Amino acid sequence: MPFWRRGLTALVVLALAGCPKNEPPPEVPPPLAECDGVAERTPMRLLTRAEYDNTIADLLGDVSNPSKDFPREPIVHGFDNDARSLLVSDESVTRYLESAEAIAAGVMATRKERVLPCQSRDTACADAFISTTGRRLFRRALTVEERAAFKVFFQQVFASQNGNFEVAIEWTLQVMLQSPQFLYRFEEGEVPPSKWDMRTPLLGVELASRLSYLLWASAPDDTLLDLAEAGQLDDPSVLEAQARRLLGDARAMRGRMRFVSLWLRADDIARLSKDPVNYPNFSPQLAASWQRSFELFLRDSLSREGSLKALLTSDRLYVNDLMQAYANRSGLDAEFTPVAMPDSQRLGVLTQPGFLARLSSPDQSSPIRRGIFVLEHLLCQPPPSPPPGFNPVPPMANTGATTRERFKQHSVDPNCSGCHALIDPVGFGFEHYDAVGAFRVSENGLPIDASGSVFAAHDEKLSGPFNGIGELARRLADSRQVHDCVASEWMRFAMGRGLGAGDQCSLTQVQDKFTASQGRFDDLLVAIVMSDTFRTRPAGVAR
Amino acid sequence: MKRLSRRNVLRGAGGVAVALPLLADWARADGPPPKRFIASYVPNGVFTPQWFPTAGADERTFTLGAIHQPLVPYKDRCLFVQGIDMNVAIQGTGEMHQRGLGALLTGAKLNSGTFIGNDGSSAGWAKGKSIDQEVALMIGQTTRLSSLQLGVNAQERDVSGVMSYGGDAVPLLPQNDPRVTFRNLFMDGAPGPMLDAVQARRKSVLDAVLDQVAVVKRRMGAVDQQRLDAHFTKVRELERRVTALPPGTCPAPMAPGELNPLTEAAMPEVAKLQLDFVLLAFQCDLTRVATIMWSDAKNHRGMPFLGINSSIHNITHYGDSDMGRLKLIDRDRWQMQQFAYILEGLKNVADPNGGTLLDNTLVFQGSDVSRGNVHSHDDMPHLLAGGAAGWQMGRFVRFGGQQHNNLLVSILNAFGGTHTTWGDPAFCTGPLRGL
Repeated sequence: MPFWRRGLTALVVLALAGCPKNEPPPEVPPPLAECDGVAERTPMRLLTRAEYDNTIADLLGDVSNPSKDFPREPIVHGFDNDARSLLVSDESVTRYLESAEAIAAGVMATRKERVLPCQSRDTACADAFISTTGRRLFRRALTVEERAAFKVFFQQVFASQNGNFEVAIEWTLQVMLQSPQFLYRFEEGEVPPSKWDMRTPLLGVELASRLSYLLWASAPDDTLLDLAEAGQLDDPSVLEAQARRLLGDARAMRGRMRFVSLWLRADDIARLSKDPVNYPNFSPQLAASWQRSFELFLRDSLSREGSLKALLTSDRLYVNDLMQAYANRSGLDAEFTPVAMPDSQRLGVLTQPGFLARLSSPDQSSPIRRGIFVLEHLLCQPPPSPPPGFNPVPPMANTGATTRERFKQHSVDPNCSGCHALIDPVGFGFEHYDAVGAFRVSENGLPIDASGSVFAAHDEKLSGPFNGIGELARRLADSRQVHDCVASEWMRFAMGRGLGAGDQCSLTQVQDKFTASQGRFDDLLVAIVMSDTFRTRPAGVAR
Repeated sequence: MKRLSRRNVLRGAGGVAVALPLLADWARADGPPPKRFIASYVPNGVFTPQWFPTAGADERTFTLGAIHQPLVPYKDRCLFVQGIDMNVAIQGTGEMHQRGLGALLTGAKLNSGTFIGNDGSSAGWAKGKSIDQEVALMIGQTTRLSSLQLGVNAQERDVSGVMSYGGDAVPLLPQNDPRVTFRNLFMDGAPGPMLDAVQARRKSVLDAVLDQVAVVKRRMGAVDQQRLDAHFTKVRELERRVTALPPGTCPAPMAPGELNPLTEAAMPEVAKLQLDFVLLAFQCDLTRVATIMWSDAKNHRGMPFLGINSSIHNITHYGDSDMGRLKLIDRDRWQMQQFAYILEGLKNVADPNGGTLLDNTLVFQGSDVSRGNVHSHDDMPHLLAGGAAGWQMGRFVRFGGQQHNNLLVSILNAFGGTHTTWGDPAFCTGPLRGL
């Protein structure tokens, strides 16, 4: 069943379950037999801060994270790369200026060879600089017009700065780093007709950038650019080989981590704070350790087996001196050590301390936030809104009962029970973990009840009661619905926009391939790269 | 009251002297002093049982409560209001905090979208421009920055963390880091031959960047051309900012030292720095419009410096007689202190063309809901101060259920607008009556 239809079923099921909703389900056009049809348009894409830093590091060797004071990207659907929302502002152009000045000065002071392909200090060398460095930064060969403009600029500066060759190079580099061809990815090149009727294949260089920014979160290297400019990425076998090559490179971890961190909301764990009365051992240093521990866990899961199953069911927990109690260890120092934990205490990403602490209130755990997370991010089955004008009152902490008992009110109030009958039973399964992600067997002297149940609209095997997150995690790891959900999330991230009707056919193919690969993330990424959605854009020019 | 002397370089202790246009262009002109606008956002509603003053025999004889104590010295400069209803936010996409924050300055509803609210509902960005940006078009075109968007621990990067909009679905995220605010306002360094050389280089480089924008634009489709036009404008304005030779100087602030602005504990320090920079920017005429967000809508953060270690959002949800909710009074009083700090700063600077900055500024403070525990949008806890609008201050006016959007129209018209409606026209009947 195509996912739009599955989504529709989910809404219908929720409605039948009495879950209040404001909007009728949207009308969705029927699916297309082949992956042609009108493609969805992605506007020009401004580099995100992470992409900017990686690009500068890879191309110019500046690893100082120059974007650290750039304005924050708006977050749309959890991701920082929504093409429509990424707009320049007074602040961003100011930062681009400062950053270009600092980067260019650093390159000329210590790494001239990164940009100057020759030893001579003459016009020929300047031209070679414009062509080679310009090509890397613009991720394609410069046009005649662009090259001419840079040559004129170089000569003007050279003349006005008393023939100082290096100053003229530095200023020219500053211009390149602030040019839209560097700051944005464009996909508007004119190309000949193709096998598609209603869509247009990307130019080779445009596809190369889509590929490298998806897999490396950075610019193409020379090898990829050479192949692209020779037209060889039009050959699916070459494209797939390049995707595999990039995935085999250490830089691919940046691309994987970028998606996974955003998808799992891992970026702001270090800024959490907790109620010092309820959690006297909390400190900002502990929050920073949670973040680091979580990142190490993610890297480990992505690099060893690299599958969704490993992510959900890995037994690893990374601990240091501040976190040793989480693993019942002592005597550790500040270095992180991986510990294999018993299933009964920790299993997979859903039981990582930082993850659990983030899905909590400052003073108590939050079955609601945890339940919604599973429904939204793993099942792609977000619960609809409460009715207008109605007040969700979270219970106060410290009233003596267990969190589960305090939150039971949701299931009693008829205004709430429709949706919370879906949310709470999932969230209650997490009750062995408090607001700092510590494992507990009792709360306020009362035993923890971590029994729960989950309703998956398209997966009968996943649906049903469970006891504790270990059992839930294993069921999620075997679920087709969860695999389909992760595939659609990653594909959305790859495109920098929401997926529409023109993407359904490609998405279904990607989801099938992901499941067929036993949920291996690199195979998912290759499937996305090879999909028609990824390799094409709408026919014609946006008028 | 400090008096500024033109072309007098003052240095803060250890501070860098920075070349700034000393109130200069307008100080020389004979016309009326320029007006300025500040909009301030306090999240999650207030403790309504004590937040409004107690009415007296007439609008001028009201009594302030405990929450208002910081405002006692400025009672005659403030306009307390009741009975302004944000009806535009009652229905629509998104949850109540998102809708209220989105409509606070836009008067508009939210687009549909994918921002998941606290309750699982989803929304997009607000559907219209915010009044601060419209005011900036009227009074902010000759200053270095047409407006400032500042935050104090406003971390959300979705509809819950934005109060200013450049247009439909054009969010302007606030800057939380006072060190970056400092650089945005005072990036030049000291005047002299060094600065001249830097400015000449920047002009040359940015001219070449503008050439590249024009080159690439010719090859693009209409959608991207519009975006490149916007990019071109931003770079051209940047060029103007970094090459305009300031005609005078102004007190130079210290660059802020190390701090971690995205922590709850740092909020008071960040607040003081951000507000001081707004005041200095007004004083030096670097900008005339600023918005400031005191954290995000429905934030789950505490305020440990007030002994609030639970989530502010959760506290606002408790019943009015619930002990847990009383903590909100402390938060509300603290916000009044911040409001009073702004007013004090404005009052302490003489405007060369007459009066003080407070006489020529309008400060507006509002929230996304009135009572957090019922998420109501009637009787919004709005507060106004300063003389820029020419309204009679020192009053407590009960409007008896007029539209929030009407207030937005009145604010716009106080800055020279001739608006008859703002935001969603179904929720606007013209300027507020009885101001």
